[in-house]
Amino acid sequence: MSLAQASVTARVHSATRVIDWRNLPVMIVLGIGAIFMLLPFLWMFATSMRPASEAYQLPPSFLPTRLNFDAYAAVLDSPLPFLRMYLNSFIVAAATTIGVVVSSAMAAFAFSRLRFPGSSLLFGLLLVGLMVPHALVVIPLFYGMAAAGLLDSLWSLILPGLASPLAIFMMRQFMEGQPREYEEAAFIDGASYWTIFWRISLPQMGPPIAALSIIVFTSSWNNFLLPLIFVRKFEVMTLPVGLLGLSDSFGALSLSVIMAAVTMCVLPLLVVFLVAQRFIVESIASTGIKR
Amino acid sequence: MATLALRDIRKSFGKHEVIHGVSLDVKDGEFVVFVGPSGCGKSTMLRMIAGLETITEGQLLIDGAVMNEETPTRRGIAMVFQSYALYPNMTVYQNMAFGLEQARLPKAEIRELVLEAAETLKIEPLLQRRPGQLSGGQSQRVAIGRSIVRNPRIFLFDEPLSNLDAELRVHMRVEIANLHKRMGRTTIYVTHDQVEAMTLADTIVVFNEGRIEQLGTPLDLYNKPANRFVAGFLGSPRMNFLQGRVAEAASGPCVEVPGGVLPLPQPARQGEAIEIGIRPEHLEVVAPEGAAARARVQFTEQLGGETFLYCDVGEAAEPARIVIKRQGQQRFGDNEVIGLAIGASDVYCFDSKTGAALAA
Repeated sequence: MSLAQASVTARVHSATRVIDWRNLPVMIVLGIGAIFMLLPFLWMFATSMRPASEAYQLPPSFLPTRLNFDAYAAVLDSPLPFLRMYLNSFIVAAATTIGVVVSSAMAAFAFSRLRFPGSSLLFGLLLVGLMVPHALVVIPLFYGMAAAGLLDSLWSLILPGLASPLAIFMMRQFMEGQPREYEEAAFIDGASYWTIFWRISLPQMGPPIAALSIIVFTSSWNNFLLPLIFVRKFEVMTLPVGLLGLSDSFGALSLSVIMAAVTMCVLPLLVVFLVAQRFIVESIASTGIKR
Repeated sequence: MATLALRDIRKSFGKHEVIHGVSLDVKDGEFVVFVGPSGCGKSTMLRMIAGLETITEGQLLIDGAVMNEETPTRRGIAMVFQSYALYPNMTVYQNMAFGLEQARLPKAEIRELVLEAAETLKIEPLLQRRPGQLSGGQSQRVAIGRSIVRNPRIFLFDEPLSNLDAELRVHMRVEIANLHKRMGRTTIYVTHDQVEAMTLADTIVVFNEGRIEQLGTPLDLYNKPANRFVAGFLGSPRMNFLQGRVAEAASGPCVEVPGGVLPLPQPARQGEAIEIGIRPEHLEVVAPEGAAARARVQFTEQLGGETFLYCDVGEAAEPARIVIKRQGQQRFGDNEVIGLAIGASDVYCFDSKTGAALAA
């Protein structure tokens, strides 16, 4: 059997591992926890499928009795540009995620692998940024955006999120834990810093990039404060503020319509998580240093 | 052609100096092994030669040109790391081609050079695999392949065999020796394994606490160690050391040690305290009656081809431990008293304070 076959067999074995029944109590506790986590989502989905009159029934039911997509149609037909807001949310979250991943990976490489005067001081100052409450910078940011004429544009939502001290800290910590020999070998092979970063370091950052992408995409997708303050036009509004508008225009009676909108809002996060989760496993599996 | 010269090289991390003025000349094609205990500065020295660490003071010359500030590529060096450091996201072929791509060689030439190196090291079937799919020995070969493909002037090896099992280590040691013979390149090899040092080196450089203790051919160092440290570092099992006092016997100069009296190779001042060193293979086991020195066997290790005797000498209250290496299979009972004999020329004398070898 070749080595490649052996490693495939090993992977299949670990995937179809026999359940260890001694872990049963732990599995039961975790299972109950998982069900509790799932219930609000089930209720949300079930509510979106039933008419408004049944939305508040007691006891609540967590499974839809029939597939009724009227509420979804109502969301799309509403006077609010729901699809436009959907697209806005996606553009802002995707651009922010890409920006944060690129900026934090490059900064982490610089802080972890390059020696330059004042690097410790600079990193310390960066960490100070972590201690400043988010709400504190909203007003200066608002004035900044107003001065730059960026209010009521997607830029006002993307630009403030492009660099994150927390993300830089997280990526640097990961790099500090990685062996430096890869970069040193590439340096001896005559590679420039850019080549070392792009071809050697970045491909190894799969796990933290996946984790960071989930965190940044989710928080950007759910961001409520900045769009509420920086954006007044529906055409550039994102979903969290849009949902508020939806609930205002339909009223509390149309819970199923709101839940249909919320269900649609949650879907991209699920997709991001599923895609990135697979990537995390793959990245961990392809380690090359023998220890 | 590649000669290497180190001129009073010093290295400090902050205020802490770790290399204290190392000077060394390496001839073209020479195989030099840096050996020493962990933390002695041998790897730091190698990394300075590679260009991975800056040189705080002194000069590094390759072929007569000062290279302190030059990049590794300009220095013309290639390095094999202890962890192999094969890029995990690239195939074996891409790993080997990476350095050539950086030198902007045409694709066809890169292909030719990689295939040629792969053939030399018999790794052609592995070219499309990724490092995660290679065994330890295969990874080691690929790491060597990645360094020879660039045709460097100087090869640097940083403890390349320490991750391999014993059998593979012997095998790869022979391969590295053969490769050096075939290519004839100047090579610096770092190890803490004295067997590797003895078998591979033209010249061994023994490091201790950031200084060179001694350098010379393996047998020179083994036969004429400059001090107690070098004497104890080379040889397995290590040299036995005993505290003694110089005396005079009818047969010539001798030294009183725990367990008896041993002959001295040279006259010394009567009553002077010295430390003597005896290699385990130089001690003869004789009948205890009438022997000049005696020892008590504590336990025996049978290795088949040879036997190690671990013995106590001197007062039972605080005995000194010595090891005797005998050829073949020899049986001794626990606590059996044996007599010891040794030729005067096999006794090494060291200053008991400084540890320096006393001149014969």
